[in-house]
Amino acid sequence: MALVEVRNLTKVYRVGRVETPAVQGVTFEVREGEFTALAGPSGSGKTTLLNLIGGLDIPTAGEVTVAGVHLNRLSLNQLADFRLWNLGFVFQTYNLIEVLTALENVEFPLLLQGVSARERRRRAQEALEQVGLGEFLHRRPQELSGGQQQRVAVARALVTRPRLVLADEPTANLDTETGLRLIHLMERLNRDLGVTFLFSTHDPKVIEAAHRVIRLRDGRIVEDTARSS
Amino acid sequence: MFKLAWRNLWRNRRRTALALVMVAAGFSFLVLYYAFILGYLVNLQNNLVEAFTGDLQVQHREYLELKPLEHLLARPETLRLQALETPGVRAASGRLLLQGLVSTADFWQNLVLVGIVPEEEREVSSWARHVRPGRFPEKGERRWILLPPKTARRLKVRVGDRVVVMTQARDGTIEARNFHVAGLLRAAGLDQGVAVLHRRDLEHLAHLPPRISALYLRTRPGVTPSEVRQRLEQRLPDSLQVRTWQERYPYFQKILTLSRIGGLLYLSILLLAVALGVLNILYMNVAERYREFGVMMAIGLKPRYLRGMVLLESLYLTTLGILLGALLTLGVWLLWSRYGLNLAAFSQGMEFLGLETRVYPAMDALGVVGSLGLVYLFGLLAGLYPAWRASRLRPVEALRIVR
Repeated sequence: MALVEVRNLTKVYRVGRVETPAVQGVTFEVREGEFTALAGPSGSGKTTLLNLIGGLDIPTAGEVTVAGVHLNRLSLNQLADFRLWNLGFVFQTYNLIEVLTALENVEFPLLLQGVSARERRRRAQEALEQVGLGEFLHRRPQELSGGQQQRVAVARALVTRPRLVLADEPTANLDTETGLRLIHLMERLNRDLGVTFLFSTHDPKVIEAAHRVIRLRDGRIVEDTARSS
Repeated sequence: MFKLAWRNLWRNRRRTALALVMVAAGFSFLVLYYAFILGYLVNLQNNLVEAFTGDLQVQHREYLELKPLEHLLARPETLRLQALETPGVRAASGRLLLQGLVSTADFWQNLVLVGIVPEEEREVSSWARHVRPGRFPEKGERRWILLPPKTARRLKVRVGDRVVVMTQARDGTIEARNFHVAGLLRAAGLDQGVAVLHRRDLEHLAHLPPRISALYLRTRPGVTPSEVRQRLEQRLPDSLQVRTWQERYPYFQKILTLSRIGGLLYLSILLLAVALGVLNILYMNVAERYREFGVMMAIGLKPRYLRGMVLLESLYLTTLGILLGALLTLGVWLLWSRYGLNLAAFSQGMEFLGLETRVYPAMDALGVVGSLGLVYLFGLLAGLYPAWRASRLRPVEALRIVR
């Protein structure tokens, strides 16, 4: 069954009188457990598409359904709730909260979910161990390398056991080797935990690691290929 | 969330410290200025009570200042003793008030003639301390008069000179007699239209048996004038009316209350400037975190929690500022209440009026609640706009902001 359904999705940005279409009539599905890359040059609409699927942005036309919920019909507060309980995000620039330690950053979504302090700590610690950062629980973001920060971000995205993790250029700020290690980590988590990953990238090496690649150009899908893993 | 807001406050230590100093200084200034106003008013009130009104006055119910010869109180000595036996009464002095004229060979002036018994008055008012030059008469001395400085200047008389005092007697005749100027009376609340002389002399002049217009009373410390009034009312005949100085001169009380409220209003305008400074700091704190707010909202933080978090930061800032300000205030207060603040250098008029020139800090419930309330109100108002801006952010817009 499809976890994500995207139908005729269009997003047009307006600046004054100028209209810039970022996504134009895109339709596709992502099944539960997939490890899918959205590939394309910058400006092809990858980030916009991820934002629309994550309910961070509102489409100009078309529909997004995630886990059977029509995102178009939700209010801002309902969207926030939906993201909290169903989605995990990894951003290009890590985007950790700088006043919180690695452990506290990972605990943050659990805090919003109302999980008890002890349970929060246990699950956050476990998530950080899964990404190989068991030693760095009490470091603040600025005391961690780029790769380590991004792994904290992955742990934060996974700690709530979401059904879908959306990652926007997660390796773009990392060197090739660190980037590949991160992708292999995500792949392992996808395999071991069954979490669905949808990530955008323009890095050919990262694209190679994906099980399915949806190629975008100028806001349209130009190719959709599945590979055997 | 509490921890997060707390840590957010310390992201930029220098900026937060600056905001704290502003809040602390604002709070401290507010409290101390209010304490000054109140201290000044208490001083003024004490001076007025001492020099003019007494704590309580006993008069005939029908007595009218416009008809000073009617409804006077008879047997003043008995009445005075009766009052002095009432628990809570410390001192009592009967005064007789009549219209009259004081003149020299060349000048004259209409005055209210106040007849007193010096040894009684010494216990009730501060007049004995405020005769300069000259002196307050001793027991047994007669045919003296005390004039306010302005009246003395107008009549061109000095201490020791003679003046003629005239008044209309009870039978309608005009009586006049010589008096020597014993001194110049500089007591607060006594304007130039008053002259003080011995009550017996005034009674004599007006062809009156012993009579007084009112009995002026001072209460003992620890009892309120209204408590004593109740006791007096039980003892005295129904024809007599006992009133506290506030009841007798309600406009004084109104002026005192208005001055306090006016002081707070004036200060709230000053606080507005402090609030704008804090607003600026909080806003900068928020504006540089838009991207982080975007991340938090992407994770699932609801706008209202975001608003709450920013408000919480402002609440922390205000509370810390108040605590810091309270310490500052305490230090100043201790010094101030020990040494007082001498206003003589700034206002010669006070001394001239016979007012106590040293002002000590004073505080009341309105001051405490008002200062705390105003600082919190302005602190939260300063946090409201940044909080509102933060909660209006759309995650995708906030995430697009590159630092």
